[in-house]
Amino acid sequence: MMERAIKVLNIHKSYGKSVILNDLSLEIPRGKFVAIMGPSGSGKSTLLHLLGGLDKPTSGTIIIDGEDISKLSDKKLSRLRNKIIGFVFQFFYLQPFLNVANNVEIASMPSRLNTKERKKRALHILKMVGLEGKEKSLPRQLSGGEMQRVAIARAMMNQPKILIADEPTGNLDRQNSDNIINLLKNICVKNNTTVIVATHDEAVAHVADQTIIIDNGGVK
Amino acid sequence: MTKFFDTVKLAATKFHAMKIRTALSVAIPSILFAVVLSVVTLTHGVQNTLSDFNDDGLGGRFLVSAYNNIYNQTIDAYNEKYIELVEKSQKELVEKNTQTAKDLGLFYDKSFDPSPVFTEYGMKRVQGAMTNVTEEARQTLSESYRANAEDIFRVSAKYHPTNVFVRNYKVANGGNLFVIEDGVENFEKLKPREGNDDTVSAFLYLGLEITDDNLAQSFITTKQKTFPDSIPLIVTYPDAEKILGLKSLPDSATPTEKINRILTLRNQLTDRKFQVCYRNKTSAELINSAFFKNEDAVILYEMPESPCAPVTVESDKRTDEQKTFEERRIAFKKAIGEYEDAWQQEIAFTIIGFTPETESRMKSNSIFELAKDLTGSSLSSKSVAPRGLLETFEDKDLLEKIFPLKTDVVWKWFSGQDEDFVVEFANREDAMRFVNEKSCVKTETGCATEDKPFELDFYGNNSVVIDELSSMMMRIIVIGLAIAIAFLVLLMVSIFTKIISSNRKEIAVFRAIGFTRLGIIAIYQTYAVMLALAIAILATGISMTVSWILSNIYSGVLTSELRALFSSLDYAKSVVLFQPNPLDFVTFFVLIVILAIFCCSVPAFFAIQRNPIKDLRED
Ligand SMILES: Nc1ncnc2c1ncn2[C@@H]1O[C@H](COP(=O)(O)OP(=O)(O)O)[C@@H](O)[C@H]1O
Ligand SMILES: [Mg+2]
Repeated sequence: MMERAIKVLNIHKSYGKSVILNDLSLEIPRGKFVAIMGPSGSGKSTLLHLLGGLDKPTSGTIIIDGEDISKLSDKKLSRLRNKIIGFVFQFFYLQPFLNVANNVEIASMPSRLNTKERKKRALHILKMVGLEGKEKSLPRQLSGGEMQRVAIARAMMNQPKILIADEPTGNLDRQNSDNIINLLKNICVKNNTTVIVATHDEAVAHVADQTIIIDNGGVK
Repeated sequence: MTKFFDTVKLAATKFHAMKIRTALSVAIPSILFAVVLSVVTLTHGVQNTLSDFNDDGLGGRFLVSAYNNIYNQTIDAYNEKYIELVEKSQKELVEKNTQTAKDLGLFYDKSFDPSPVFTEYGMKRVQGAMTNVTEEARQTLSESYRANAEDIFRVSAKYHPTNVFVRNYKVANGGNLFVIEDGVENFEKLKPREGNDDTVSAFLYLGLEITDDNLAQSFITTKQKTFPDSIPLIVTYPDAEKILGLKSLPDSATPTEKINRILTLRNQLTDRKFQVCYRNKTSAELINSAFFKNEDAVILYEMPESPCAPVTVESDKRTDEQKTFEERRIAFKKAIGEYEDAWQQEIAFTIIGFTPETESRMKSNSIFELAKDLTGSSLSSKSVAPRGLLETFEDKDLLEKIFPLKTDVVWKWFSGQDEDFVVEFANREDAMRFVNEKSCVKTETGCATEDKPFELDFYGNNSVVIDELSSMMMRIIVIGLAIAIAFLVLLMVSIFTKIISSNRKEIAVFRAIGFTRLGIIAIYQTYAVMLALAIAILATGISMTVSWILSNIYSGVLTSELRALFSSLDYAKSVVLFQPNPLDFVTFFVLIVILAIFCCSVPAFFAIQRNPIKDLRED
């Protein structure tokens, strides 16, 4: 039996009368690269937010790392988001007034990691994402691809078991997109991190271990 | 929980956003709070200083003067009832005196008692000068309540007075007092006064105000305890200046000049004994006739050659008939005790102390004048003798002869009493309540009623007013504080609402990264505390600087002014306006930090309740 990183059972999600996800169930194996595809508005982001504990399903169960997250308190959920999950967004969302290293370190702030260890780890991760030497730069001095690397570094700061990325290449050119995809794939392979990427980008599907297509509120 | 230092680091990034708004929300409250803090600091200085100086004179005591005001302003010279009553009494008087003369076998003519009512331009009116008849009529017509000493105890009891002092007047009954200077009797005071240019001896009013030693005590500069052969007198500074022949200082005089003047007066006049000639009514009238010689008069008088000598007749062209008539008039008036042969006698006065003159309040045109009006301590507007010291005067008969204890007629127009009172209280509240609740209400027809028999006023000093001023100051500070706080709250709520709503996405990301709700609120609270500390430090800095500068500019001048004002010669006393109270600042810091935290927590709390996903989607 393959270990499950995430197990989704019969979830429903609706906003008012509009049903977005309807009786959706899926399983995501540990350490795999999973692409989630589907037309715009099909509910990919909605699903990722549920998986990341940022939102709650209208009904149904989501089990992450063996725990039913719908039963967690804000504090425990925050801890889960901090420790178990890393999030990467299409628009990076970096702190404009903090330098690259500090932006990455933010992720470890809620966990009270000691400063020395934190700096060491941030440097290591920045090296891993190929931003060595840019630690002191401010976000506005970076290119789009570089900013997304910083975002990925930030997501990886706490060595999460699951990395969730919502259209991480949606805002980048082909070249940068490919680099990011490779980086994510590398992270998955080298760190045994489960990587879930919602995307329109066929290139992602190419490197994915599994592709889940969502349409009409369910898995196709 | 997020580390404190991390929270500070994240909070500090907020300063990059909305720089102008942030600068304003620091600057405006800083300036407002700086004003409040400066006022607080300087108020401490003023209060401490005043309470220090207040030991002088009657300062610091809560005294209320009370007099039985029965003055009826409708009873004027043309009042019909008044005229009717005066004519009736006059008729009765003439009838009574006619009968008396008959009984005594003396001659009487009704011209011995000229009527106070006469006709002018076809209108009847009562002549101005008071006679027994007019006084009686006024008293009869006055509907006001006549109070006595029992009334003052009765009405004040409820307000817990600590003392009731009596003041009364010894009046030179129709006589006059002339100072003898360098062996010469000075009659200058008979001349009409020109402006404020009073004559040297004008300060010897036609009577003596006698007050309680307890009240007079702090104005006394002499060390003598008994005055067997002279009358002890506390004089006003302006009178003292006249005695020394000094022109009063202009308002523009420097404080040093004022203090030097006070020193001069005290040094030169304390224990100065001076001779005065008392002339009884007949003698004073003769002096008057001799002084203003009317060459057409049938009888002419000569001024005396030596001091306090009798007036002599220069020429007498009266007919025998006129002489007889006058002799008969005198004979009758003597018989009924209304005439005394001319006599004069020297009597000595000793200056034993000084009182600043009572000033009419609020006529001040400068801050120092205002301060003077508000803070100066004064015993009376004229010369005063302390009762106990006066009793050490040995020739009691002479004193009684010169000053039969009786209020002068003019005073009787206003008061139903020969004496008035000064009531002392332990605190401002009692004094204030007494005055506010028990002072009679002046109307056209009088004031005193049985319930409110006295007109009451703060006496001797303005402790009550100063106290009131301090509490007014407190109210101003509170209002200022309220305004500053209102501005702070408005600006802070606005800036936090703005920053937080523009930070929604960031908050969502922080939530995604794993910050707890409280952890995120803490970032904004820390930002608020940083803003608050900036305001507090800036406000403290500004207020310290401003009040220190003001203190340096004004403390020196105020010290001299206050010394002059309180006639204080205690040079250890000085004004220090810059008196910051650390407790005020601690309170201020705590207050402003709490306010800031509160201001940011409300919008932050609402922001944090939002579903982060909603904010992340809004692109
Ligand atoms: N807060 C919301 N309220 C109402 N409708 C929403 C809300 N969030 C998302 N939706 C709707 O849910 C549907 C799915 O959105 P989304 O998950 O973003 O799709 P995708 O990421 O696949 O493009 C869309 O039709 C969107 O309009
Ligand atoms: Mg999407």
